[in-house]
Amino acid sequence: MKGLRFISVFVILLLLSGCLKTNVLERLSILVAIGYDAKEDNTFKVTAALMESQPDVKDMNRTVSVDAATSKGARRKMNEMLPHEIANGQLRVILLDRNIFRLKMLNEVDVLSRDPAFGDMVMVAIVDGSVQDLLTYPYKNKSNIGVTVNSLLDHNMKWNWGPLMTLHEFTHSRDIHTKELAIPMMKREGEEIALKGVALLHGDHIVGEATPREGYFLKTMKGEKTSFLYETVIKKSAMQASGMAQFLAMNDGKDEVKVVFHVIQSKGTIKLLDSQNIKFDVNLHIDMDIQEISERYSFEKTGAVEALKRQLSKELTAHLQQFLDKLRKVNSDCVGFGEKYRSLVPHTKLENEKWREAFPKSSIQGRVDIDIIRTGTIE
Amino acid sequence: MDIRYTPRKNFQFHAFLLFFVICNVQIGVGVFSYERYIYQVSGHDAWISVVLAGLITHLTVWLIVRMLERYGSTDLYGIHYDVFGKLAGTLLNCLYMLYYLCVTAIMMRNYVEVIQVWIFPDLPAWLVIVLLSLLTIYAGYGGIRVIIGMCVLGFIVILFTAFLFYSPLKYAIWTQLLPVMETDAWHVMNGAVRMGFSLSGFELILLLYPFIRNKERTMLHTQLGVACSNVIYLVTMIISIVYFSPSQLLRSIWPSINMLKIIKYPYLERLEFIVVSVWMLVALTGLLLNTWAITRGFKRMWNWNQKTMLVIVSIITVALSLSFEAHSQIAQMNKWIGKWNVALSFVYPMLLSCIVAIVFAFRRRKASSKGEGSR
Amino acid sequence: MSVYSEQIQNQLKKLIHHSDGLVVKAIGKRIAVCYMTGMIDTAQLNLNLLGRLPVKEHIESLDKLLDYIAIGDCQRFEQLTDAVDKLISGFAIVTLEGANGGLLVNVVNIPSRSPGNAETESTIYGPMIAFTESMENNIALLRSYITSTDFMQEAIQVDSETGTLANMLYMKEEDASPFVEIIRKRIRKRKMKGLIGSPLFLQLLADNKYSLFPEMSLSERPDRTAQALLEGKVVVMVEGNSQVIIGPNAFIDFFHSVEDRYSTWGIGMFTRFLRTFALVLSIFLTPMYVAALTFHYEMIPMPLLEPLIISRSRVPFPPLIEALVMEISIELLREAGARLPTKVGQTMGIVGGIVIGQAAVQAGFTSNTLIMLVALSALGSFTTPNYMMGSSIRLIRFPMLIAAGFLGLIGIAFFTAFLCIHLLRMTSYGKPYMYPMYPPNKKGLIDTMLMTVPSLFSYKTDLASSNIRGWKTRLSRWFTSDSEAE
Repeated sequence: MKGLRFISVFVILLLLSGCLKTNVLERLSILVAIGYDAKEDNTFKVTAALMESQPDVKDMNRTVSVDAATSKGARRKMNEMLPHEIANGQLRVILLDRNIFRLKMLNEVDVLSRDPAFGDMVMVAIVDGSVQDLLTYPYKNKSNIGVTVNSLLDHNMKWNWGPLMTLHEFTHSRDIHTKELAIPMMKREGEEIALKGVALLHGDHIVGEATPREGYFLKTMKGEKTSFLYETVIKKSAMQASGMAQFLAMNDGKDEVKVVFHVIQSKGTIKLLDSQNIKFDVNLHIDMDIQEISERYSFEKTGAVEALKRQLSKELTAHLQQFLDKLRKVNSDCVGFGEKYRSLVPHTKLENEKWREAFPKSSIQGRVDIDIIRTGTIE
Repeated sequence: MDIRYTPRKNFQFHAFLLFFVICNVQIGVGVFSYERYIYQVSGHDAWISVVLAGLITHLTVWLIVRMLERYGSTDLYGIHYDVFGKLAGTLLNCLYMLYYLCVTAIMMRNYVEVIQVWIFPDLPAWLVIVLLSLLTIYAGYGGIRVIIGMCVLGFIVILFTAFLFYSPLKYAIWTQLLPVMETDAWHVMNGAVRMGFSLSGFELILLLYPFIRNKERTMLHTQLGVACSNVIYLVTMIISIVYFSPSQLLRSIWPSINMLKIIKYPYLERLEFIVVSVWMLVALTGLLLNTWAITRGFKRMWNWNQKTMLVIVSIITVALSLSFEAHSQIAQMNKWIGKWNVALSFVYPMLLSCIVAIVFAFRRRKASSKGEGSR
Repeated sequence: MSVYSEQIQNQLKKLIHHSDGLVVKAIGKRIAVCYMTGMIDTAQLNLNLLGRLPVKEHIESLDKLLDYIAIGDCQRFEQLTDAVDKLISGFAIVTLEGANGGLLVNVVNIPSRSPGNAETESTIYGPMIAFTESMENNIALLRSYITSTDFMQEAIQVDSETGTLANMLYMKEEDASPFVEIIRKRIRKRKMKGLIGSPLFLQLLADNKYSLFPEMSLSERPDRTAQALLEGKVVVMVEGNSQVIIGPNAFIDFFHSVEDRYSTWGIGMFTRFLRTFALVLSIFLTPMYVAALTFHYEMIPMPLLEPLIISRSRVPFPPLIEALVMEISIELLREAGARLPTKVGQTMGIVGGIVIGQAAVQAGFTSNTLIMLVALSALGSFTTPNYMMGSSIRLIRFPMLIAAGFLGLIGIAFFTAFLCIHLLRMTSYGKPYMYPMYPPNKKGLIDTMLMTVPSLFSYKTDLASSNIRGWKTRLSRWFTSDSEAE
């Protein structure tokens, strides 16, 4: 009896309140990707890739662009253009152009995390060129540009060198002064969209770019798992020291050897050696699987693998050092040396500018250890 | 009113169920938002505050259970009558009942606010509050066993939710915990005091004690329950320290829910929606236990019918929790209740147990001296 | 016809309100035999009663008369008014002029069928036989499973105009006495009009009339019933019903089938998990769909988003109405199938399922996805071994659906909380319904949820374990023998 009475009260309550705002899926224009182009007068060109359903219209993808001063203003303007209300909850990608950084208009992106509709796994990327162009270009082989960009970024961040840059990571790195942002950068090339490199930031400014290889180093030093196909070219003249030269089976006259290996596992450790003069030691340990050597190399001979290891270790150490020097030169501590320093030296109270001044003057020594686990299916 | 009280056998329950009760009463809607308040004072050493507060809770529980063991089978209301006499006892009992009333109202309001912010911005507050109090009445009519059954269910929900916090760990920056003890001891202590708001509620053992069948196991299971909720608080605290940057943590009102936003499964996303709604079961246990405590007071002191009182109490809490609307008001109320929390669940029970110890010692001496005198 | 027998006939006619069907046969001058036609075994009557009674000899007392009757079940009665009830249920009355009262002779033969296969609780293996409408046969069937003196039988009579007979069966050794006491008390105190079938009996015995779930289960399988008896449950068997009432039942018992224990432990465990999963599925699947599509589109993962939008794009109704239409049509199909003869019913199901499903999508009534979900959840509800429980589960889906349609996930959470409280409050013969989940019992949990093999199960397994040792014993043997060898 009580149960019945209870249910009836419940039903009455529901009927009384049955006017909640519904978000019925097909009556929404679902925002998948949003792009911001900054203009010189401090306004935005906001471009959105949407999914929406319209009966009897096959194509459910749509891209719209509006001019607006704020992102909420853009939302209002888009609503005026679209058949259904715009819905933020499925947003996957935020694209920014370089001008946003130049004109210091990044706060608009920060505001997004106030809205509970946004997830924190939204990815942020920079577009080399105009975002509007990237999103609105009439591609022949892409149905929804937002979905395409999302899956492209997703697998590259998960399995490749692309640095993980979610909205959470973005606000996190912007909030603390001891770490800078490194944002993947993409570009439209004709019909295709490609990940080009990593933009290195100092504060809110893009100060440099990193190559995919450096992106790999960056991720490893941060302790994120990456598998990477590493390509390196070794000069034959540089092979003598390691003793690699004697294992090359035949000489075909070229003066360099190309080596490609697959990183199975890599682990980066950062050590603070001297807190007074700020000296760091970076050690990368890479387990690899040799995939390709452009010349025949006699692995079966004793010492051959050792020689290759020595040689590669030297090469990679040089590459790493190059990257570390570059970071200091452009003053972009995207690895988080400052965070490491702060965590190890109590009561530093690293102020914003203090670490940024100190970082270029610090000295960082990189070293790469290598283990060749396999040499593929042939020796 | 009899000071000692033993309920009928079919109202009694086993001591190990206390574990679930204590966990549920300590972990409520507060677990979504407490990190920020602690972090405000203790910085990245907030976890030390949590540990410290947990240890103090263990101590308080120890004192409370020791005090109850002295009496054999009684509750807080009975002890008040015994120690302070009828008038003062009634007053103190009323104070506690009033306090539980406020706690119930603020719990309801807090949960409704979470729903309004995270899921339905346009959901009328009265609807959820009325629904919640309907559930409270329905379960409350079933008596203490149903209430404890809901606690078991709530514990399962808490457990599964706790597993969800594994996902944010992938984004953790562990160096953010370092260096340890950068904050000075005073601030860490201050954080521990703020933690009192979240950890309070365990003092309900003062009222549940007569209903326990095997009373000798009370201490063990209560301490285990406290330990469990301490661990959950500690883990969520540590995860939110390593996951958020300091200013992110200070800005977000519900850091625990924010952390869940990162979770993504191939078949389901945005689990915070599910967690917030399923948390209704956990919030409900808190409401149930608190309203039960109030109606129990009426029953004990004036022998009023618990069922009718439950309806009246529910109506009052609905009215009370509907009386504030804006976030700032609710925050103000939370702060105010927080102070009372520390006083009524930590300081006062400790004090009371000391008083009881003294009274008992005094009585014993009196009895023995009397015995000697007669001899 | 003798004068005496006519006297008796008149008396009896008055008592049965001149209803037709009474036969009074005079044997000699002083003996009358009365019975109702159709209710008796004519062969027995002729051979062992009528044929043996002396026509000529003079008999002084009923005791003497008793010697002539070759039927065991004979009772004395004092007044004809007392005997009428028995007469109507098929006994023959033998009276002797001058003697006080008479004899009631059991020649009852109520038409019944021979035991057939179990229909509503079909299993793949295990005994196939099912109870029939004859209580005696049913008890005989049970006794063939449990030949023990502990097997107790207690007749109970209900206060109703039908005067239906019922029997309460239980094992003496198992601790069933509190439940037996409760049943006795309820039968004494409660009244019900038109009490015919055992389902009505079940309602009479229930703890709470308004509970959403059945508190006792009905079974037509003797093996299931025997198992329940061994578990310490009480069985109430009602005359004229092929289904017996098993109680007290916990919630989890409704999801157990006898087959679980006939199969190997892995399969048994798997099917139990499958059923639990099906339960969750059938309650939450469509409401989750409605909640996600009406309010929480954020929860849908990217790869699912596009197909969902496409399938929903032509549907003019909100998801709630769409889901309700589908759920109701499935219920209609089920109901139509149940009412029609088996062969027609099957065709109905196929036609209804395919045609309505296809047409509904093409007409833009529902989306493809929903059809799949509704079908899945209907399937889930049909996996419940107990039909009554299955119906209850299907019923509670509707309020859940409505709650989801109005309040989204909050509605689902609310209704789930309500259901949980309801289940926690329920009792069956005073025993908590959610046992062993609540009050939690470690051993009970393992026994009912995991272990399905009797040797691992908390049965009396002395027989089974006399020769086979557990791995622990074997291991310890091995170690000790090793050390002894040293």
